[in-house]
Parts: sequence; C-alpha cells; structure tokens
Amino acid sequence: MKQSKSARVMVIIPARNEEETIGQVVAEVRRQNFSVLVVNDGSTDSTEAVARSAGAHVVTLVYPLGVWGAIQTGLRYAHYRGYDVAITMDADGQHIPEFLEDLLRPVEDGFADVAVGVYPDRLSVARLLAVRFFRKVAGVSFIDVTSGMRVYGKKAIELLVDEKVAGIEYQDLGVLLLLIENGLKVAEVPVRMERRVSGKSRLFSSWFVVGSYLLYTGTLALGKTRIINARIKE
Amino acid sequence: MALYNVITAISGLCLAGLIFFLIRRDYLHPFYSFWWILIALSALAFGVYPELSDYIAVRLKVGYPPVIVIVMAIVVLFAKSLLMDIERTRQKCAIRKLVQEVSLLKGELQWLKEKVEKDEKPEEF
Repeated sequence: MKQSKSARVMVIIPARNEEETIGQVVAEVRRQNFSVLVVNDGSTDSTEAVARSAGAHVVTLVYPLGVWGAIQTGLRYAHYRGYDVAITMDADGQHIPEFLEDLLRPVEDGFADVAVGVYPDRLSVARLLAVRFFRKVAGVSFIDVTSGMRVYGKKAIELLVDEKVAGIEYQDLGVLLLLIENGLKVAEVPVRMERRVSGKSRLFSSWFVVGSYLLYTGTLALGKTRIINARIKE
Repeated sequence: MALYNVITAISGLCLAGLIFFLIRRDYLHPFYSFWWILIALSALAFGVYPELSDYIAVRLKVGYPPVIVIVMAIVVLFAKSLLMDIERTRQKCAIRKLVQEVSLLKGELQWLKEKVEKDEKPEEF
C-alpha cells in the first residue's frame, strides 16, 4: 500500500470488457506501490479474473452503472476503508501510472482538493468540440473536462459519495462544477497520455452517444452558469 | 336523463370503481392513492353531473364549457407526469446507491470467504 507522506492512497479503475489491457495497467500501478481497486462494470469477458490475478482488489457491480457509477462505488469503498486520497484512471492503458506522483502533488501539498490530469494533444475532434462547448456554456476555463485521470482528496471523496450526487452520470464537468460549488479547489496538472490500445471510448463510442452526452452535460452546465472560472493551479 | 348523461355517468363510475378497486387491493401505494382518489371523485362528479362544467364555465367566463374538463385533465396529467419524473429521479439515486452498497458487500463477502478458505487449508492437510 502506498504511504505517500501521510495520506493513504487508493487507485480506482472502472472497467468494462478491458481484459486485453487491465492486467498490464494494474501491474504498472502496483509497481508504483499503490493499492488498486478495479470496479468491474458489467464485463462479459475475463476482466475480473485478469485484474484479480494482476493483484487488484475487484468489486463487481451487481448491475452495470456506467463509468461514474463505477467510480462512485470505488470512492465509496475508499471512504469506508478510510483512504485519504483516491485516484481514478482508465483501464484502457491511456493513462500512464508514472504521472500519478505528479498528479498527487497538489492534493498532498494542500494546494487543491482535486487534481485533474490533462493532455490537450490527445483530444479528438469530438472531444475538443465538447470541451469548447462546455467551457462556453458553463463559463469555466478547464482545459479538459472529460479527463478521467483525477485525484480526489478526502473532502472531495466525502462529498462525492453523498446519495444526492448519484444523479451525476459522467465523471466530467458535472463533478467539477459540483466540487467548485461546494468550495473545493480543482487544479489541472499536465500529464502525458497514450493512445487507446484496444476497445473504444464509452463516452465517444458513437455520434448518438456523443449527442446524448452533449445534451446531458450541456443542460447541467446551463443550470450552473453562476459558477465562475475555476482557478487552474498548475 | 339524456343518453350522454348515462354514458358519462357509466364512464365516471367505471373509472372511479377501477381506481378504488386498485387501492383496496393494494396495487397503489397509499402515497399515490390520495392523488388517485381525487381523480376518481372528479371523474365521478363530472360523469354523473356533466353540467358541472357548464356551471364552472359560467363562473370562469369560458365560452366553450366542455373545454374546462379537457384543460383540467391536461393540467392534472402534466402535474402527474412531472411528479413521476421527480419520483423516478429520487428512485434512480436510491437504486444506484443500493447497487453500489450491495456490490461492495458482495465483494467483501467473497474476500472474507477466500480468507477463511485459505486459513482452513492447513487444517485439511
């Protein structure tokens, strides 16, 4: 288990049908001395077995809840087990575990309650359009609101496991706006990300899904226009 | 009694009867029953006394009395639909939390089982 300074840190990886990459991702994270929790979100392949054999603790959702539902389950687990910090990252190998230390720093040093890993170069056209749209509507200046590589401090974990937050569907702008609304500081940290090795993004899997996502988050953003620009710490 | 009176009375009675039947058989939660009792009583009142809409129309200065019932029905259905979505949102939140808690407990149980099995192995040998 990672004893990074005083904080107990857990890495949460939501996964659905990621048997090709999950083993390597878990192994690499464990090499960084972090505890790993894989939240199996309705996989029909051997994701659970591969993750377990790679050394992760696995929680399988009894009913698929989507990425945010899986992450919230992980946060709930971290909360019950008394972890001080939770890191979320993708199971597809895009996020590089070597950057977790950099991402942890603002939260551990007390500069921020949440840190988001950003790599503008990885943004596809659809993602770029979505980010620009949300920035405009919500009046925030985040570089990438869709990044799933995040560090949540204790205050953020306590806030996000609240039952009322279950209304959120994606780990994106909605979560960030909620954090800012509750007075938590969000920092963006530059990291490098790899290209997806296998499978496809659940968020940007088809234009219909993108449309639903834009409609959902756009509506959410419209309702939060009073929120002023988030301060970018790094 | 005119034929239309008989038809509206029968319709109102049938609708009210169906609602009361469902409530008595516990197909409707008491929380929702209150709403439906009001609907049943309204259906009964307007079914047996369709002239009620004329009476209300005169008071409200509405030129075409039957539209009163239609407008009331639309307003009631709109309100009900809105309340249902609010309730669905609440239920979705509760179900999501329930799924998460059950999943965590299941994971915990499996972990404990594995631990117990491992501890028992030496005794088997």
